[in-house]
Amino acid sequence: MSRGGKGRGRGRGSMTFNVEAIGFGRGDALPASTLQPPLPYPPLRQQPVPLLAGEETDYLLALKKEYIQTMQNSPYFIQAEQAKNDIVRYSDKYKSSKNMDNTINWKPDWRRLPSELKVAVRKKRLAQNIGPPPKLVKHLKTGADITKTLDALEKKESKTDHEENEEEEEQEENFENEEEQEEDENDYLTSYFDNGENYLDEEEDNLDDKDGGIY
Amino acid sequence: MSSRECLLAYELLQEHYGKIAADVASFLLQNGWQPLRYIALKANLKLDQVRKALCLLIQHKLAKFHVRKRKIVEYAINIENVLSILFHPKFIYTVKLLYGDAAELIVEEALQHGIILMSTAIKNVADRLPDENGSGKIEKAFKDLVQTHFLQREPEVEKNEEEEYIVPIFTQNEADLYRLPTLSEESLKRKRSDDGSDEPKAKRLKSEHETPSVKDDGVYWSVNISRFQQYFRDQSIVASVTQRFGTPCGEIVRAMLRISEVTTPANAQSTQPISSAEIARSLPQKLPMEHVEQHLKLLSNDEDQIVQLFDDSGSGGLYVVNLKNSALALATATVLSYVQQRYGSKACRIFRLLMLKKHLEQKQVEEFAMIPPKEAKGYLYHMLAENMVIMQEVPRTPDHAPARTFYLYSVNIQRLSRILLVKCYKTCTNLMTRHNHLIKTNKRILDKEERITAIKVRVNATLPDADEAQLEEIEEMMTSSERTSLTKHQHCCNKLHTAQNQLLNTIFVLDSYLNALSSA
Repeated sequence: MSRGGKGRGRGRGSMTFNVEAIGFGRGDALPASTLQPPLPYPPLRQQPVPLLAGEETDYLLALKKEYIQTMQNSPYFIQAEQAKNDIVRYSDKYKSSKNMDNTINWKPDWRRLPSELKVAVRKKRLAQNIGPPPKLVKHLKTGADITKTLDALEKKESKTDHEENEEEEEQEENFENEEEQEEDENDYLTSYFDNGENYLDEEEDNLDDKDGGIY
Repeated sequence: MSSRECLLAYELLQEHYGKIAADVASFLLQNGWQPLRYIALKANLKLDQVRKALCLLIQHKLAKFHVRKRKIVEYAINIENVLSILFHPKFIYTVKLLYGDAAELIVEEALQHGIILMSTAIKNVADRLPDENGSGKIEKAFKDLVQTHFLQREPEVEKNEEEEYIVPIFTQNEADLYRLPTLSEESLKRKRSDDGSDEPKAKRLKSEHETPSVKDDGVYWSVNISRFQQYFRDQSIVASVTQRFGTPCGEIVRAMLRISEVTTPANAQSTQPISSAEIARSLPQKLPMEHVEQHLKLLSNDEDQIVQLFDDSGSGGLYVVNLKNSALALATATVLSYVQQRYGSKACRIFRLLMLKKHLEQKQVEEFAMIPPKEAKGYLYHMLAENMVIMQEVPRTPDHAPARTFYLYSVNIQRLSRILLVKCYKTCTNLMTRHNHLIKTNKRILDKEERITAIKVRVNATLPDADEAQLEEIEEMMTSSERTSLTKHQHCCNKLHTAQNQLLNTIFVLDSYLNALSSA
């Protein structure tokens, strides 16, 4: 085993096979061993072929962009509910995106889906409903006659059963035969699911719509 | 299913349906069939979010469900359908070329909604095509699409008598797959309450009896992806034959494929046998019978065996297009062109040689390829290192001593197709990731541009006589440097999208070859 000839490289003599068979002539140096991982972006040996161009390519490109845009604006695109801001702003109350996570924006045909998937369908709110309800301001100014409000609430409560029936009839298409389970699983409509956060809001809406005001 | 496919599926779903859907899908892809609550728990999402995502995925036929132990519903993802989202623009474009604008919009609607009622589709398209009065033309386009199987009917829900059910049960007859419901003018305009009795009673389906309010209630339609794939396949076969044997041969193969278009099942090995007389009859430009037969003979003697002689009895004989062979020929051509582009023409020569001779020793490679030994070795080892070539040891003695072992080199097209397909998926994922990154970094400028456009639209709408100076002022809200970076951003995005579109062809060829292999 004679090593150490100049430029013979490491371990030439220790190879168990004839090195010449893989293309190293007598006296050639073996390549140095690799001591580091390869570059993340190794240099390109061959330049890539330029992309095709033409009418068809352009049309497909426009189509693709438009398709993605449409999908992202469609009701199917699920957006996560925005995390609560660090600052509580007055304007937060009037943002239309409330309870985004537990309502669905489109109307699935529930007959085609497993029953456990039923989610409340988000009702389209009219644009006028989104703005600040004018009466709330009055409320705040007059210091909110609490007893009156409570009275009204009581009155409303007695009517609730009736109202609920109506609303459920409305939603019958979507919730066929499933009222029972809905109640079990808390799959209420957003409008009568009250988590207390939007107490005043909710009350105002209902009063405006059904009771015709309290004053 | 490789991890690359999962990553691409994630990117695609995120781009088209939002992050939550993508999260749910990627959890299902990694874990197979899973129940609802487990998904919510493990993917760290709210239960209602998962419900929404699953509704969406099922609606778009991206997910499926079944019942286990009679009460647990489990969900899984249809990875093929998810990956075919890449092809949606191409589907739309193809239909536009074949059947015009109305059909284009119908397919677009169907893709956007996943499954759609015929009446809804026609109504939506009519809204988007205001110049076309009457839905007759749109309805005709819809019927054309169904008759040529580009749209297919979804299985219907079997009417459940009991109140309680866990999952709907679907039924479908093969015969019904492309049967249109009778859709009268009235049912398109208003929901009719009486059930028209112009249709034989036996033909009508159960659900139509139950809910006579809308005529096509419960009869959903979706885009038939395999039909589109079949169309693309036919196109590429014709293109390759045309390139190789000239236009007349291409036309003959096109005619053969068109005759058997609807009758051949999607995963068949070859088309139905067709007689040369029938081919001659259905050619767009009439060719003399002798020419047709000569061309067919030429094609069937070719080594790729795309067209084969099925039976030579009778006049002229029966011919088939062998779909499996054509898939192989196309995939081989793709792999070869990859080798050529990537490793140079000399390496490609070695590669072809190995394809031809199956197994060769290194020394034989050098001799047969007529390339200097040293250079040849370089190419061979380079390809071996990147897995393009396989080396097989055949020891003469049991000790595997190198001196007494044959080292045989060979290539395997199937293996290479899979490697290249995964590479394509990786490329696609990278392109999309880069696109997302660009959008994220340029978000501020993009938002600003959107705002300015909105202002401009509003000014144009409210003040029709706004003077030049005002408009210019709005324009100047964006500085020139911002404008240049905006153009640059758009240019980059366009390149990324075009690259994705261009990848589709390669993905399609390789994928259909691998599918043909697995279905055989």
